[in-house]
Amino acid sequence: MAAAQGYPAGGADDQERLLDEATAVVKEQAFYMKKAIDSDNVREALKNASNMICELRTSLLLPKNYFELYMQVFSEMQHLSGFFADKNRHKKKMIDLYESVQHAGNILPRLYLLATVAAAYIKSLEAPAKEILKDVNELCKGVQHPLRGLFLRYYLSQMLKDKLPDTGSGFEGEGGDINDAFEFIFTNFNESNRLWVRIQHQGPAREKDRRERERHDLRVLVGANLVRLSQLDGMTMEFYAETALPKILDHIVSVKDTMSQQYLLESMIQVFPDEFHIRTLEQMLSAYARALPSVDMKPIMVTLMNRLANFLAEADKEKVQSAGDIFTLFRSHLQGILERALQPQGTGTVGVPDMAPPLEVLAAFMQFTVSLYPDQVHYVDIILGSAAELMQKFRALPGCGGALSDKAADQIGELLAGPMKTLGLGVLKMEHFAALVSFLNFEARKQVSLSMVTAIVEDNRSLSSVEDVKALFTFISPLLKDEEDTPLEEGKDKVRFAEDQQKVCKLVHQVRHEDTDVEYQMLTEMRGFFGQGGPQRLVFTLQPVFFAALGLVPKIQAREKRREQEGDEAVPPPAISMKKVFQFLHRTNSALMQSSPDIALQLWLTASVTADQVERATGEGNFEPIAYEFLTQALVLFEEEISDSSKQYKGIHSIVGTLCKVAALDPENFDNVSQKITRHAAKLLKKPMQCRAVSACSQLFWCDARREPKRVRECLERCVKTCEAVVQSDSGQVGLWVEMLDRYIYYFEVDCDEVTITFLQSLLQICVEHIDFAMKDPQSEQEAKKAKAHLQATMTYLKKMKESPDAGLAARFAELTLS
Amino acid sequence: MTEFGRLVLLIGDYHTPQRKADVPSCFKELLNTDKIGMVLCTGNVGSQSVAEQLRTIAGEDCHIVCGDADHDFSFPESCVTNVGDFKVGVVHGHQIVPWGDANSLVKFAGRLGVDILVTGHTHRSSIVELGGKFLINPGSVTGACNAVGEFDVTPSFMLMAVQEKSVVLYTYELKEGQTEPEVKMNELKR
Repeated sequence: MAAAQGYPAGGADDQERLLDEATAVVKEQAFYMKKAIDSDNVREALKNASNMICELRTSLLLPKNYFELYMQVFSEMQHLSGFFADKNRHKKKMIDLYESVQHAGNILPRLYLLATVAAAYIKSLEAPAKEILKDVNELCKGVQHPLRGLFLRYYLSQMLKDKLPDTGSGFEGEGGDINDAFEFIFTNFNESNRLWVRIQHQGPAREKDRRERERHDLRVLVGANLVRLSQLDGMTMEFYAETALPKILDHIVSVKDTMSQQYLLESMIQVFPDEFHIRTLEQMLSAYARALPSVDMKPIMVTLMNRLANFLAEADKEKVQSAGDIFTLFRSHLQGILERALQPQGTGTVGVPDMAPPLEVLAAFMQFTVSLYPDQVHYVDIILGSAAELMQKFRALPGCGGALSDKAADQIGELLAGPMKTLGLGVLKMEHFAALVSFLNFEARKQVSLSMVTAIVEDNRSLSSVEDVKALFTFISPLLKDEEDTPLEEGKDKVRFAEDQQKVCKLVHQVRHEDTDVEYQMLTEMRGFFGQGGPQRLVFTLQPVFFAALGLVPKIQAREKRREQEGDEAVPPPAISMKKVFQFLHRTNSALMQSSPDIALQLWLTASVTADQVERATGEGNFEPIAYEFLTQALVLFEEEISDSSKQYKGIHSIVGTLCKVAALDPENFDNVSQKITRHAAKLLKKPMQCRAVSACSQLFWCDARREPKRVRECLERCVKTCEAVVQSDSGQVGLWVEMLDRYIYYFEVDCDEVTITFLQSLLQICVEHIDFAMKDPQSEQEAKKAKAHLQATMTYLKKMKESPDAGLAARFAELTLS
Repeated sequence: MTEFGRLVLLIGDYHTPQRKADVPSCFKELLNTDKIGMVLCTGNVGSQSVAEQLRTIAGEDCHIVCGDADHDFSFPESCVTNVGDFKVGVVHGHQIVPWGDANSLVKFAGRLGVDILVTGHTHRSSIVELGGKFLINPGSVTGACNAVGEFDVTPSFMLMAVQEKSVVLYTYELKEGQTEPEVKMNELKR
């Protein structure tokens, strides 16, 4: 036993060898011990047992190997235990046996033997159990080596677990009562814990981490005592609450060791029944507040809350009521528990305390509260208030500057997100919500804002008052404008910025109210907020506002109609007229003209058709000027802002398409616009584009507003001339002829009587000739093939028309010759 | 070429988030299937995320053409693809005046050389057979307002199944006030 005071350090090979050697001795001595028992020789048996137990005096084995050796000794000792219990064989008085084992020369074997005899002694009922228990317990204090002591204590508890004067046991009465049974296990627990904690100091400081891991593995040797306590029949609710718990908790918090407190506080919850916890919640929580600041309260609180929530969910009403106000209990102790985090963390750690753990506890409490009290909305606010208060105190710490770890910020986000999901906009009415948000930096505030937006959009929650809009938009302002702490690079990541803004846009479609006036007010409120966002945000946000406002026009129209039928009392006149809405649309789109002319052009056009439709329905000339104004704006925009020729080409089609749907415009105004756009078509950069665009413009003489066959023909003739010139200079453009043919067929089909079958016939001929010609030139052969396929398709179509089962249709095409 | 039995999704005119917040949730469930082998989108996706979603439905076989509001995208004006024995063309339709006119669209189908022309723009679902061509418009999947300011738009999209010489079209529509879509079936024979 040379290295008795040291701590095992040898390699794995050494450990294996040491264990093998000790095992060999244990086996040998056990063999002789059993031989002695067989011949009822007490003296020899004790001697061999003592030798065997001496192997446990080693300091060279690692805890896990020591444990293995212990198990071997324990199982051999059961033979001796059986022998002691059989008085007929050893023929000794128990008191004598008890005395005689104390002559063993070495303390460790002496105490192992004593514990073994004590079990038989109590069983014999020759002396009161309580006295023997007390005596052994006292004597066992003689071993103060942490590892050896801890295992001796474990042996003691294993040997005597069924020899206690527990309520209802055979040893009760003269042998004592539950108090004695409790006292025995409690003392053993107490001693075990102290020994266990001391293991950390055994050996060189540099190996402390490894030692602490090994110590952690041994924790059940301490925890087993708590299990034994919970298994006592005399452990009634009353006994637990009044006697057991105060002592246990006092002990746990008095041992200033993080691992011990962490493990034992959590074990207490696991080991004892939930009913006990509900009754003693106050005691438990106040003990938590006394725990070391380094103890991580989250797993402990989460375990407790989960167990209570499950228990109460299954319990009947009566039980729940008798449980009292659990929320208030938790809440009143929570602040103390949380603020442990603000205390300086032991020695050696400098700097800012981490707020993540206490915030995690609060997030768990939030979850617990929401599941247990779904109707008590104000509880949510109270918890948010606790978080805000905690953060306030954190900010006030000297030298911390309020810098929050990412993890802590995430936890605040978690705290805010939960109620947002269940309450939606309701959270904004909470007193402490905004206060808590203010502790976050820009990025985190933006994330919370996005979660809020998502919660509203995904649950399809309506925005139904101007106050809603104001509250929400004030809250999500990190998304809406540049704030004081908005980083300069915000918006540089175009993809992400677009995603954020598009999420915001969805809010506009959540505006819902039966009164068009209220909807209008909400939209103007939104427009006001969006206006502060600058051009980079307006590009996104103005469009939805525009369309939502445009949607008000048919709604107001319907309202007016109902008012006419049902009277002013049933349907009050709208304060916001359609005219007002059109003015709003005008202002909104004007803001887009410079930054996004493509979008603005479309919006002018859509607004003009809408105004035209209202004019068509009302017929009083009030909306014609509006429709015309929008068209004029579109033209001005087209002329001034759109310079790219392919965009011009696209724009001409948009304007022509729109004009085709307009019907109530003053004829002079219509002509004015259509002439202008046709002129632009004729001035496009490339001739083929000109040809196609002017051909599209021919539609302006054959639409809802106009039916002028002669002008259609004139327009088409201009196209044919352009086409001729184009194909002459570049036979690769030969396909244009087939497009012209298609356009002529179209007018022939829609009964434009200036376009006759003769035209079709000669165009067909022209197409065939030009394609044949273009085929011969390798430069244009490819395009000519395409044109030929197109012509083939057109011929097939015409053939179908000629063969149509519709006799009238077939007759119209009958004269056409398709060679 | 789409495998036999695989469905072709015809969809478009989302305009999200400019004109509508999202696709109806019952449509989302329907579209969450692995039975769709090809996507033909008539354009106006509104945002990058919609385009990405479409690409996850059928992977490579996703064809999106340029709508009149797709200013920030570089989708092609039109595309032509084979579905079974049929040649199918897709174009948004704002380029063809008068808008949504069958007599004009059928000419465009001839120019592309397709049997079936899929277009959008009107936001009204329709199936027309004219001069040996099928003109199909799946409508607006979100029920967004169209270019001429009509707001009474029923959200709709189509699934197309091709079997040798025939095409079966399923039109899904979410009528006003309903939570479940109505399905119409049309069989087109050549």
